[in-house]
Amino acid sequence: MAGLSLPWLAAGIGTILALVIPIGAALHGGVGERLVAVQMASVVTCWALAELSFAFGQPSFLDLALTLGLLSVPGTLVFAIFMERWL
Amino acid sequence: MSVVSDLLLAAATLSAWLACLGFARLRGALDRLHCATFAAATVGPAVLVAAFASQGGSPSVAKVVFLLACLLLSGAALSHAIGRALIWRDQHGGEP
Repeated sequence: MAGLSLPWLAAGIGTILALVIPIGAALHGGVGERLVAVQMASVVTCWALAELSFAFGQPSFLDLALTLGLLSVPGTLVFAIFMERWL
Repeated sequence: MSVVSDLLLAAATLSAWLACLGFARLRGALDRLHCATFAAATVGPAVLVAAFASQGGSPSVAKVVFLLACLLLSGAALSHAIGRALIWRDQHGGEP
């Protein structure tokens, strides 16, 4: 495949595999543990998307990572306030 | 420069795994917040320098700089908000 970079692809796949741990943690435990797991998963996903963007030579993947990074801010803030006041 | 880029990518992947393993090892949401901060503070700079080493100054690298700045700045604010909510729940009888 043209434009495929194997080191970046290996890094991206390795980072995606690490996502199993926070996703598994998000399925168990209390509300606080789940929220922290989602925060962790969003950070790791951002960098996995960035690495895959360079791996496949698709700059649009970086826009996905940027969108996820920017949208995780209000989402996590709203959930933290919701958890603090009502849950 | 390719060797430098590959080494930095390996370091980024190892940092992500170290953060996730620490996340699994630590107990308690407040302790686990440190792992999320570690991931944002170590994986991002390694990926940025690797991208700069492999591509030089390109629009994609500029986007990575912006992504790193967003994640570092928002990570601090989000960690504070989550920690505040967790402590408030502990003090007011929320779910442990």
